Amino acid sequence: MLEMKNISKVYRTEHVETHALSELTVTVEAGSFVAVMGPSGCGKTTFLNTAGLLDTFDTGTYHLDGQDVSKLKDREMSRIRNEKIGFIFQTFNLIPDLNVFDNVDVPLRYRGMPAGARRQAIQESLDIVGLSSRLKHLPSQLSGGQQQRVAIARALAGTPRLILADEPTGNLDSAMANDIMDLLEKINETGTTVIMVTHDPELANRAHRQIHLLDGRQIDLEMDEPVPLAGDRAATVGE
Amino acid sequence: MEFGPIVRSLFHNKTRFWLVTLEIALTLALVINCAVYILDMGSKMNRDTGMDIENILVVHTEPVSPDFKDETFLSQVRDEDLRLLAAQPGVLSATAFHQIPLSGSGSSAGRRAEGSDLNTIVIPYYLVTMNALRTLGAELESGRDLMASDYPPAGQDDIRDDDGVQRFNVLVTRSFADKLFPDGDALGKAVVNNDGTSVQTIVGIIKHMNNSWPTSDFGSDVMLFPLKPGTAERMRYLVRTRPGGLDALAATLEESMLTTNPDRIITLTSLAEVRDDTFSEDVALVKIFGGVIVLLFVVTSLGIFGLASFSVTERTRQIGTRRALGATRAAILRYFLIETWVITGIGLTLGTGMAFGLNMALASIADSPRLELPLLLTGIVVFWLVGMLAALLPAMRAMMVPPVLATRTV
Amino acid sequence: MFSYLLLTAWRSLKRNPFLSLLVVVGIALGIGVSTTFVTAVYRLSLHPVPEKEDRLFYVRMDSWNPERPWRDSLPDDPPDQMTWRDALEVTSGDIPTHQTFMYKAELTVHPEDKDMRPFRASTRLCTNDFFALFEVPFQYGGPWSNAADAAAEQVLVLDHATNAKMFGGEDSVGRTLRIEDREFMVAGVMAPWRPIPKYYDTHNNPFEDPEEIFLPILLSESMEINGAGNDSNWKGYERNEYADTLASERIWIQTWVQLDTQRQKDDYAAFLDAYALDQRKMGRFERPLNNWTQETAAWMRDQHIVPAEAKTLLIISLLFLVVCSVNLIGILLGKFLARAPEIGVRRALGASRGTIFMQHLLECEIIAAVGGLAGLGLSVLGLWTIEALFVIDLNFKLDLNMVGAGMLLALVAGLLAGTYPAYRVCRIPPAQYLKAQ
Ligand SMILES: Nc1ncnc2c1ncn2[C@@H]1O[C@H](COP(=O)(O)OP(=O)(O)OP(=O)(O)O)[C@@H](O)[C@H]1O
Ligand SMILES: [Mg+2]
Repeated sequence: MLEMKNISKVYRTEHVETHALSELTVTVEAGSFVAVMGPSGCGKTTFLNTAGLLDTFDTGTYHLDGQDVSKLKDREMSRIRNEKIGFIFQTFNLIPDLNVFDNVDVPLRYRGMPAGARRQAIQESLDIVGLSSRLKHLPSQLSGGQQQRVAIARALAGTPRLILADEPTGNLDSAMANDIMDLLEKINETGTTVIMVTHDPELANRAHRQIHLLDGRQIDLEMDEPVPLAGDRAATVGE
Repeated sequence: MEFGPIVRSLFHNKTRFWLVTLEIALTLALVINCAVYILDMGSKMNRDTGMDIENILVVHTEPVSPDFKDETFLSQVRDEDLRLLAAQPGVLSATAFHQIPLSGSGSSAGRRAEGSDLNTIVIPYYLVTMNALRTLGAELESGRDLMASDYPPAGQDDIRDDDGVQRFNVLVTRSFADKLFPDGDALGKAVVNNDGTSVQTIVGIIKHMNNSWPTSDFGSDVMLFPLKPGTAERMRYLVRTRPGGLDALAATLEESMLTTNPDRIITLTSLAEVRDDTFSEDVALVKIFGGVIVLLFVVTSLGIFGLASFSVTERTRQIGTRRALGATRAAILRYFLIETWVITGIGLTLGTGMAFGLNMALASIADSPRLELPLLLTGIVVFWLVGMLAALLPAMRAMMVPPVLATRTV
Repeated sequence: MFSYLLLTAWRSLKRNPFLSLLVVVGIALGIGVSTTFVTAVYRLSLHPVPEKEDRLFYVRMDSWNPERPWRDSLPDDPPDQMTWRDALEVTSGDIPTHQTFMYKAELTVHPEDKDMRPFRASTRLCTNDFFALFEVPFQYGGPWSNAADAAAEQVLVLDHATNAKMFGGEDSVGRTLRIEDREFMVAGVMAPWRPIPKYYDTHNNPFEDPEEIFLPILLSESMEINGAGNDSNWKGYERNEYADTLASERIWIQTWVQLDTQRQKDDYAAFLDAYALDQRKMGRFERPLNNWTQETAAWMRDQHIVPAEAKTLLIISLLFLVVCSVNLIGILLGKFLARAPEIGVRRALGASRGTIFMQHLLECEIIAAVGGLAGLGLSVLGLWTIEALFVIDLNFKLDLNMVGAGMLLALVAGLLAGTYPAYRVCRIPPAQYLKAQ
């Protein structure tokens, strides 16, 4: 599904260069559920953004669904995002003045689907997240968990092959987090690849596989070794 | 609050900051150049006319009977009219004029100093009956007024010498006298037309009065000619009343004049109205330039208001944090006002240059008046105030941001 | 897709109605002020008879003082009017398709109705070709005949309003009207006619109404009518009789010809020069040969129909539009950038840069269109104000041209002002705004 080789990304500001990703090589099989972990600032979000074609990288190659996406034009990348990828964010990122229906509608509109098909897709995806009774609510009228479920419905509506979730439960309490996790698992069962960043080892353990990042690189951990604590670099730098 | 951080954060939003600066600069340039016109026209309109215009009634008569083609008859009616006018209660003096000063229409001739070989210059003139100066309220500076003996004898309409040269005694204004006789010794000297067939001796000098075209560069050049005016088409009188007596006179005058001779159409206006009429176009232009200035201020205030609003909205959280960290409301208000103050200041500095540039450009296209420094400074001060006012509302909104906002997520 | 962009743009406008209003007011003022002055100057400088643009000529001949040009400031220009004798002569040939010579006067009309006071009517003395030359529309009857011109018959043409006043608007052809001490027979009544400017004679007030009464010009000789327009004279003369004026060097007559072909133009120019040379033999026309047949547009320019202040105002009003556009750019930029997080989401959900750019440009164009409409409303108010202030009739119409031009101006301004903010907002890197703050 996703094949990154030697991807590097450097953020340059006036004073510092940050190697957000350095020579990262990652492969994700189609249909798998992957958790990405690592201390804060290690490059998880950058990895996810790069994987989702939201951000470009400096060197390396990236094949998505068999297609080389390293040198695509903005329009083509946008189409891939629209058709193959669904995003879920820690802060939900619903558009505040669109109601639930219209929020879920956004990617379908950009795809240029006819109205009937759109309505059906929206209904179905809201059914999955259990919010089909709240079509007319504005994001501000929903709880955090409900907002995240709308965001998931929005990501699902376009029937993507790949779901990228960046700490989807970061802003939620643990009960709510488990609900969301259940939902993601349910989605994964239908064959959709899910890549999820999380800090929660329990949630990570529910994934098929875990990728650990440190300073922009993947590190291989024996599954029985302790998961490095956030920020606790000294404990993990073994290179 | 610290000045440095304000300026630094301004430059964070470079483009928007420069746009508003540019807008302010352009607006200043335009406002100032509109104001230049207003001031120029205002000073032209407010100049002293040298005449008692508030108390002078203009009596315009248009004969409708062919009888008036007869010169003797015409002259009779004129004399009767003048007697009648002078006898009205409250009237100080009445004189027949062939054209009306300040009216925008008049006659002019070309004259040069006798013996000079320079080109003639334009001199607006009026044919008048006796007492013209008294009627106008104009002041004789030196020499004497026109007398009965200056007029052609009864039955004649010209005074000529043996060589057929037309010779008259005339009054001229100081302004015209100085143009032909720069040494100031015009009294007693003569002026002649191009081919020397008409010679006028200056017997009196009028201190100041405007002619029919008061805003022209020869607006105070006048020659009063002792020739009785009036044609079969029209006859005009100026009547000077005691202060405040004009309306009472106007109320009854038409009727009394029609008793002398009913075959004419009579129109009455005050000389002040005649002047206002002549200036109506300038007044209209002043209003238009004024309107443009107001609209410019409106648009630019919107711009400044918009910038300040965004600046506040973007920093709502930051303001909350600052408040939570102990900033007073006054400090927050001051912060945003200083920000606007700096932007306006930079814009106005740029605008000063643009104002001069535009002034020169306009001057080359349509000879506009020159821009003076005091006007520019006034404009800058006014603008600064307008800018602060426009920013006041957003700044007050910022002031009201509660400290709790710092902890709230969107 | 387009409809979705439109919908999104519209939603974005609705979200912050106050800000949108601010922006619309800004652009409306810009469009309002600039179209007001553009229209006013355009109306003033419009060719009065576009269909005769290059065929109608004002005749100017240099019969002035051998020692000095007519205007020291315009030494190469012949005088702006002609002497009676020259005008009479140069319109008596058969080269032009139409030709007339004329002047303005004021004559007294004595109504038959004794309850009406006699009144002064503005009168034009001209030949019957005046009406064909200037394409005067008639309601009843028509111009007087050639014979009436030649014999100076007492016939006249009335304008529409005076016919209404004197004859209640009825067909008055054949009826009589008493002017000065003579009876005149009505030959024709004009339909309402108001050229702007009054280009056939702009000497006194170029925006006044046409005259009320038109008479054969040769009546001047017997009726001894004096002109009521401008006149000037460089050579004094003894005026014992009216005929002395007609024979003098006084200039006070306007002369117009219609020349349809190049041949006519060449022939007529040669004819004028031949006439002047002929006159030179009699001691006139001593200045260098300088006779003009001037196209109407050039003549209007010489007459300063568009005052200098109007040009200044035009420039200022266009700069005003620039100020409004800069204002618009600033506000739009702020408005758009404040929305960066939403743009980030939309980009993540598959909107390309082009889509985002289009959406924002559309928003600008909606603003511009609404602002343009409001601006057109304002410019109608502005033009009424100008008409009221200057007491002129610009005879403007809020027609397709003006609406089209105003809207185009608005849309172009919106496009220019919107491009940069829309560009900026579409270049926002989406990843940056999707992070938890
Ligand atoms: N726009 C940017 N400009 C400069 N540096 C950046 C930018 N975005 C991220 N970085 C840097 O890149 C590195 C990786 O950041 P990233 O957001 O991927 O971390 P993360 O693993 O998602 O952390 P967290 O768990 O805290 O969300 C960090 O060191 C960060 O400082
Ligand atoms: Mg992160």
